[in-house]
Amino acid sequence: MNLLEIKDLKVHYPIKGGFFNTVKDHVKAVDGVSISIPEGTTYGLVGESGSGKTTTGKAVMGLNHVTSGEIFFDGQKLNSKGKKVDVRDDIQMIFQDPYSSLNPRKRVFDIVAEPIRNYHKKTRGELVPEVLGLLQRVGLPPGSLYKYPHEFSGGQRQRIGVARAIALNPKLIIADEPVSALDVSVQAQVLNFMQDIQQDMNLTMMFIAHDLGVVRHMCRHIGIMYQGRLVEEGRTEEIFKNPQHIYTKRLIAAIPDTDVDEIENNLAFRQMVKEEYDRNFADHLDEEGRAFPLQSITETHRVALPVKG
Amino acid sequence: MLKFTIRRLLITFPQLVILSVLVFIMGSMMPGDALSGLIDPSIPAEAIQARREQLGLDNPWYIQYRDWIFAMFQGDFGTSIFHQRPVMDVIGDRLMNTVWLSLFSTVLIYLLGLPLGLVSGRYNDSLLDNAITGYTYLGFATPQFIFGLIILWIFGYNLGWFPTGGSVAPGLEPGSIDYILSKINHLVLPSFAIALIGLVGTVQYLRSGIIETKQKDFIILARAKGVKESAVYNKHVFRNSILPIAAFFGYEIVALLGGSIFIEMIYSYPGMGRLFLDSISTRDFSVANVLILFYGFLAIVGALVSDIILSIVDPRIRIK
Amino acid sequence: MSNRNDLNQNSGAGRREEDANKDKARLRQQELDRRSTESGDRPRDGDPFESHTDDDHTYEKGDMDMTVKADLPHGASGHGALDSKNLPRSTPGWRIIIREVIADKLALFSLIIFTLITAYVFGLTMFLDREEIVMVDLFAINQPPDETFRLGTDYGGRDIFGQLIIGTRNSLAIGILVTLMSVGFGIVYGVVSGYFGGRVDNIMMRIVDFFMVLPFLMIVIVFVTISPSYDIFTFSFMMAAFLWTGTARLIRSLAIQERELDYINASKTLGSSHGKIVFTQLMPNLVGIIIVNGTLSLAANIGIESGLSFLGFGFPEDYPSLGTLLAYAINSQTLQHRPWIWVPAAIMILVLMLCVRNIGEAMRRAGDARQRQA
Repeated sequence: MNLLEIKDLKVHYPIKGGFFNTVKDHVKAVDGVSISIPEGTTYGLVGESGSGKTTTGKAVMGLNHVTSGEIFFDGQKLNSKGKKVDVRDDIQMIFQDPYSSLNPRKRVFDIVAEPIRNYHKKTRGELVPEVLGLLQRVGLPPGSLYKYPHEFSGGQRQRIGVARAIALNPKLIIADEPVSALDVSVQAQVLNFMQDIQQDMNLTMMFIAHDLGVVRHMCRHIGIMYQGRLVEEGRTEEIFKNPQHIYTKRLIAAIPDTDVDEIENNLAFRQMVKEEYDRNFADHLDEEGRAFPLQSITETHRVALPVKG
Repeated sequence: MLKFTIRRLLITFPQLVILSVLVFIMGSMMPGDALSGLIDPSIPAEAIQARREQLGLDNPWYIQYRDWIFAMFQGDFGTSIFHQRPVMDVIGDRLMNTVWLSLFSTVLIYLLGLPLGLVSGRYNDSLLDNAITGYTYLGFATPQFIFGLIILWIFGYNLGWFPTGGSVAPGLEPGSIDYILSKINHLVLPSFAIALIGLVGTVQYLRSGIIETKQKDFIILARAKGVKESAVYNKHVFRNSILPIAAFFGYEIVALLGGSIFIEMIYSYPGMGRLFLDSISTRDFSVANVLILFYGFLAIVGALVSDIILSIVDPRIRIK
Repeated sequence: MSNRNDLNQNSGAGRREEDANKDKARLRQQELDRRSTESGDRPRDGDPFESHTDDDHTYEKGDMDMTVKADLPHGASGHGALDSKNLPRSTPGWRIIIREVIADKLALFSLIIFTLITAYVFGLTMFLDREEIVMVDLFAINQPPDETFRLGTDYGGRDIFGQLIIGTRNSLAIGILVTLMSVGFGIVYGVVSGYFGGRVDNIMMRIVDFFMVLPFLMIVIVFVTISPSYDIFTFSFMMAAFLWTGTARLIRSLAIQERELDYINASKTLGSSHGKIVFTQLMPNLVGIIIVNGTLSLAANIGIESGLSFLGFGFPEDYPSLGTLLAYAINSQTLQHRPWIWVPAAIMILVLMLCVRNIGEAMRRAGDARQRQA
C-alpha cells in the first residue's frame, strides 16, 4: 500500500522578459517525476542543489504551485482544484534550516503547540503536558518549555522542529535536508533519533538529502534526481550494489571511505568513474540535456537509460 | 535602458490620469464653478442658466471631465475669479520667482552639502565630523518654517543685512543690472533658509556612503597601488558615493518646490506657493486646483527622472 | 518637508533591515550572556550564523535522557504535574530596547524631558480654563512677560503661557493620533503587500507610488478649507491619509525578507491561516522596527502639524496649537519686537522634536549591535 504517490509531477516557473513582460520560457524545476512511497518506509530523494528535490517535497506540502501531475495521499488527490482535501495534519515537514524555521519571537511552547492549537481546541492546561511529552520524546529537557529558539544549539533546534512535526501524529513526514545545516558530529545523532521516532510511530518519510551516505543509512528506497528528473530509482541495495546510470555511479564513488588501507584503490576507482563520466555523461542525456524516461531493470529498480537502437 | 524608460513611462501615464481625476473631483467639491466668478447681479437668471448650458456645466461629470482635459490641452486652464484673468497668466507671473528660488536653493544645497558630507565621511569621528553630524542631527529635527523664521529674525530684522520680503525692490527697471542684483539680494535669505535645512539629508547620505565605500576592497587596492590619498578620495570614493545622491536629484527638486510654500509665506516671496495660499484664502479655487495639478505633475516627472537616473547608475534597480 | 522625510525613510530602509538582523543576533547574545552568568546551565554557542560550534555532541543519547530525568520530579511520567510557572523564562525584546535607551545618556535625558513636558501639559490643562485663556482681553494687548502673564500676551490680550501649554498638548495629541493612524495603517498595508507578494504586491505598491507623488500639503490645505467642520479625529485622519506610505514601504520590504524564512512556511504546513501567520508569526518579528519607525514618525508629525497650523490650516485660533503661536510671527512687528509670543513655541517644538528623535535614534541603535552602548 503506497501512502504517497506522485504521478508525473511538473513544476515549471515562467521566465518573464521582453518589452511586455511576457513569458519567454520556463525553468523546469521538476519535470515529470513519479514516486511512490509504501506506508511505514523511508524514501530518500537525492540530488545536487537545484535538482528539484526540495521543490518536489514542497509541492507535496502545497507550498509550491504544481504545473501538472497528480499527488495522491492515502488514495486522496491532494492537488485537485476546487475542494481542498485538508490532510495537512497528516503530512508534516521538517525544514532544512533549524535557524530560520523556528520563529525567533516565539517560545518553544508556542512553537510546538501551534499545530495542536490549529486543529484541536485545547486549554493551556491541557497543552502544557502534551508539549512536555513531545519535548521528552525528542529528548529535550522540560526546562526548554519557555525558552526562545536562540537559546538552543542547531541540533536541539532541529529536535524542536521534529517535536512540532510529530505533534499531530502525522502519517507522512517530509524531511527536507534535516541535517545538512548541522555539524557533522551532531548529524548522526539527529538521524538516529529520527529513525527511532520513525519506527516508534510507524511514520512514512520522504527524506530529501544531497548526501548519499546519509540516505543509505536512513532509507529503504532511493531516488536520484538530476535537473528536475529522476535518473535512477530503486531499493537502497540495488542502487548501491548495482548502479546503472553514470550519474549515480559518480555520486556513489564520491562517498568518502574511511578505510585507510583502501585509499589507493578508492582513488583509482574514483578516477576511473570520473573518466567514464566525462566520456559518457552526454550520452545519458537527451538533446536538451535532460534525463531519459525511466526503464525498469528489475521490479523495483528503474533507470533513465538511453533507448537502445 | 530604453526599454526601462518606456516601461517606466507607461506607469507614469495612469498616475497622471488618476491625478487629474482627483483634482477634478476636488474641483467639483469646491464651492463655486467657472461661472460664479463672472456673475453680475444684473444678469437675469435665465441668461445664467442658458450660459451654464452653453458652458456644459450641467453635463454629466465624465463629459465635464473630458471637456476639462481637452481644454487644458488647448492651454485653457480656466479663469481666476479673484484676478479676473486666465489662471495660466496668474501662475505665469509667479512661476519664474519659484523657479529661481528653487534653483538657488538647489545650487546651495549641493555647493554646501557635498563638501560637508565629503569632509565628514573622510575624517569620520574627528571633531569636525562630530560637529557636522551634530548639525545634521539638529537639522533633521528642525522644521523648515521655524528655521526660516529664525533666519529672518536674525539676518533680516536684527542685523538688517538682507531684505525681509518680496522678490525685488520696487521702482527698478526690469532687465537692468540693479534689478538683477536686487532680485539676487532678495533670494539670499529664503534660499539659505531652504538650503541649510535641505542639505542635511545630502550630507548624511554622502557621509555614510563614503564611510561604506572607503572600506571596500577596490579602495584598498587603489591605495596599495600607490594612488595618492587625495586622489583616492576625489576619484574613487567620491565618484562611487555620489551616485545615489545624483539619483535623488529629481525627488530633491520636487521636495524643494513643496517645502518652498513655508518659505514663500514667511518671506512674502511672490512665488507659486504663496499664490496657492493666497488663492485658498481668497477662495480662488480654480487657481489652487491648477497649482495642485501642476505640483503633482512635477512630482510625477521628478520621480520619473530620478528613477531613470537611478537605473542608469545602478542596473539592479531596473524594474521587472 | 514630508517628501524629505519619506526619502529618508526609504533609503534608511536597507539599513534598518540590517539592523533587524543585528537585533536578533544581539538579543541572542545578550540572552546567552545572562544565562551563562545567572544560571549554572552550560553556555550555548554564540551567533549560530557565525560559529557553528554545536555543543550538542557532548549530549550523548543516554546523557540526554539522564538530563530529562534529573530535571523531572519523582515519578517522571507525571510531568504534567510540573508547575509550568516555575520553568525558566527569557527576557523579551522590548526590555532590551528600554535597557538600551536608559544606557544612552542623551536618550535618557530626552526621555525624562519628554515625559516631564507631556505629564506637565496634560496635567496642567486639566486645571487650565481654555475659555478663559483664549478670551480676548483688549486691556492687555501684546504685553511683555510680567507677574500676571508669565509669558506675556498676544494681540488679543490672551495669555501666551496658557496658550503654550494648551498648544503643546494639542500638538502632541494630534501628533500621537496621526502617528497611530498612519503607522497602524502603514504596517497592515505593508505586511499584507509584502507577505502576499506577486500581483497583490504590485498593485498595492503602485498605489503607494501614487500617494508619494501627491502634493500632500496642498491637498490637506484644500480639504481643511472645504470641509465644513472637523474635529481632532477628522483632522488627524486627513493628515494620516497621506503619511502612511513611508511606513508601508519600510514594513513591506521587511515582510518580504521575513516571508522567505522557513518559519512562515512551517506555519503554513502546520495549518495556520494567513491572517494568523501575518499577525501572530510575522508581526512580532517586526515589533522593534515598528516602534522605532513610529517614534521617528511622531517627531516628523509634530513638525508637520505645527507647520499646517502655522500656515493657518490647522485648528482655529481658539484651539491653539504650537503652530498657531508661531503664526503670529508672520506679522513683522511681532517677529521683531514681541519675541515672547513666538520664541517659546519655537523652542517647545524644537525640544519636543529633538527629544522624540533622540529616543527614536537610541532605539534604532539598540537594534544595531555595532552601535550598542549598554
